[in-house]
Amino acid sequence: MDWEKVKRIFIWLLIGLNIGLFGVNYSISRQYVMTSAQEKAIYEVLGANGIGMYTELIKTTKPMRQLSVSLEFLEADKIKKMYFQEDEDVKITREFEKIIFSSNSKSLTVQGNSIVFLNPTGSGYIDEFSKEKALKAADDFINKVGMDIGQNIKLESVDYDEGKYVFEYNERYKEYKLFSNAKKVTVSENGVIMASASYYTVQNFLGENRKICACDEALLTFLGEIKKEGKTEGVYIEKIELGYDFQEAGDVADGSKLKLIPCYRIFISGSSKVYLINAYTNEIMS
Amino acid sequence: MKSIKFSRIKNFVIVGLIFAAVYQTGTLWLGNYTGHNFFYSILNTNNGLRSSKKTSATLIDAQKIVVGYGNKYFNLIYPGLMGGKDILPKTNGFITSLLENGKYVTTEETVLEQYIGQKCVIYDFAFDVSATQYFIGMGTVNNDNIKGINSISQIIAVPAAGKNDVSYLYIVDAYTGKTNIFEANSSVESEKLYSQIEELEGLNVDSMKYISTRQSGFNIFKENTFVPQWTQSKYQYAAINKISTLSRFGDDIDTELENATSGFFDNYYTKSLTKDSNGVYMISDDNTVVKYYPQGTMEYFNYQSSANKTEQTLSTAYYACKEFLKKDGTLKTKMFLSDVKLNKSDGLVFCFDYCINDIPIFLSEKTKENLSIEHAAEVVVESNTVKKYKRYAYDFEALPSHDRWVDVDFLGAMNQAIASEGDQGSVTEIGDIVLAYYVDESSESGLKWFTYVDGEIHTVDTVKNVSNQDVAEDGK
Repeated sequence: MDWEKVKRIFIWLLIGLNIGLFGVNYSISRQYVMTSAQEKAIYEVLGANGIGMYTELIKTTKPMRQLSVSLEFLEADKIKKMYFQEDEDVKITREFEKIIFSSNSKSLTVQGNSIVFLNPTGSGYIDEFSKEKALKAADDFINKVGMDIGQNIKLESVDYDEGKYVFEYNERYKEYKLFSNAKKVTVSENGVIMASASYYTVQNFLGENRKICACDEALLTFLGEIKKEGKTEGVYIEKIELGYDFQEAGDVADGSKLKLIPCYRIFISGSSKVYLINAYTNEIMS
Repeated sequence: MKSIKFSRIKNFVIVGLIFAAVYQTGTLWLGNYTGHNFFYSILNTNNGLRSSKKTSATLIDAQKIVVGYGNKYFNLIYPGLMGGKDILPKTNGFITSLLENGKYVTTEETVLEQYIGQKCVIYDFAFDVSATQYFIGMGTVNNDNIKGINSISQIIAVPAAGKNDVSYLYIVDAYTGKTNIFEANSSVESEKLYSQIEELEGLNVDSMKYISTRQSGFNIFKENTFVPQWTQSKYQYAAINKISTLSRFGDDIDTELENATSGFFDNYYTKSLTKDSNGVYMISDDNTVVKYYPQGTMEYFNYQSSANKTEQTLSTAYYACKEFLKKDGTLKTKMFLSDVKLNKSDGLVFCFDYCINDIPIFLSEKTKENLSIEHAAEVVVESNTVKKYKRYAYDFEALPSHDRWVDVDFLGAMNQAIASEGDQGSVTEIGDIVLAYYVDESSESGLKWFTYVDGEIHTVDTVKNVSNQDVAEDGK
């Protein structure tokens, strides 16, 4: 048998197969990409309703799965060691489900899987206070107290208010942002004065890939909500994100894991309100 | 030499192209399409059963057990944590036996009125229970028959009437709305269950009778519910008296309270008891704190992190919850599982309410608000250990004389509830109606109708011509 001829035929067949598969994969992936016509249309609709866009649209919206997380109940002793020095005189008060650690200058309240840390005198004076120096102080603080704990923490937003910077970080799982696992650090010229965080352990992806609404569809839902609130002018969208957050009502199912679902998060300028839209159902979440 | 080299290159090219084809096929299959493939099941083994081997699990209790006599009349039993008389073990035995020895018949659109037409026992669950978890608790998880069921809202057990008849088991799948039907020949278990139903019918001749709204043609309710009906013009009953836990202790309250709460603590000697200026008793050691408030609640919190973080499922968590509640030495009134919640701050919460003589006891909206409690007891379980427990610390006793009455029937109560919604045309969903004791700040409590209309609870008086009508804003 002429094996070389067989191999040649086989190679051509495989090339053909790969081209075919590539074509199918490409056309399927394109169905989740916003067309320029859609882009144009949504800008026009928003513009006609007095809403400006200061950010880019999310153009690719592939189907996503749910994410299963569990509450991480924090071990009090471990947490105490992260926030207080060994030689600090720490008083421990238990108020039912809260444990409050307090020293002369700091207090740390641990409740379930959340912490609130207060240090009014600050972690250390910052010379020539600036955003970059404040950010460095916040990053150092996060690493020191182990908020990172092996997960990916990325800076999401910076707010400035009366001499203080508030840095918000989100955890990431693979390439996705977890809106539920937000960590906030407030820095003044005296250093870190406040921090808060909630801890959830990501277990795994759950269920099947389900289609999510496209960014323009979510923006139309947002538009409806804005109209309901009676805001007609001067609304500027600063940021749109796609990530994971909790559903409104927990689904008991097997009873132990909480579920995060894909959501769009929209920020508008001049307001601290965050608009969350369920990407599966395209409905506003409270 | 050249041709050998070229041949080897071709081999590498073929292998490379095969890998590329496999990769692209995998992307197509896994990335773009939903499940139904080999890889999917491997990737999802994390969601499978892991805990049943190492951690104890238990059956999820139904909220109520409805016993039907085949004559359109039923009795309601709230089985509670302290057992449901004999009907519960006999029904469980019947279900296990039927699933092991019987066969799957079909899955069809639910025709409830047909299934409950004969002598039967219905398990009505407070929430949609994962079928896997339920059957893990029952010990029949490996049965092929039940693999297709997602979550259970009701189970109807219909034992064979005679030795030559057939027993049926109907499992209503909450996810699909359809019923999975199983059948088996008459067995020892079906005979026992059938006799038990007949016995109950005889014992309950004088107790409150219920009818099925679906079976009796009352289709205003979203789903079938069981409502009480009486033949006389009114139904006489005894009010209940509430007694606070703290008031039951004698002069040596400290010692009695310590003894009653000793089940919560590992080490008797390391705990301390204090009473503060507000009258709050606190018993605590390094890891656990129990508080009794004069306003009428008790709270327990376990500060210890779970030493061995075990995988928690609904049935293992419920086992831990039930075992824990046995340690509450001050819990004297029967409780039943009213709801199970999963929220992002507490995790898994089992909610219980009290019942007396198979009539539930519900707290008024004001009481719930003042005490920050939604149900009589709430138990938070994490890693199969109870983390937090809060309870309305009162016991209830029926008063000796039946000097109260109900003369507003369920239809009258429902009409009043709908009228109180305002625009009658806007009512979209009539969920349920329950006759239960209404507990507020008074020491004695009578019955009221609790109606669930459009997600809101309305309480309606059970006596005609009483102007008070308390409309609660909280949703179910």
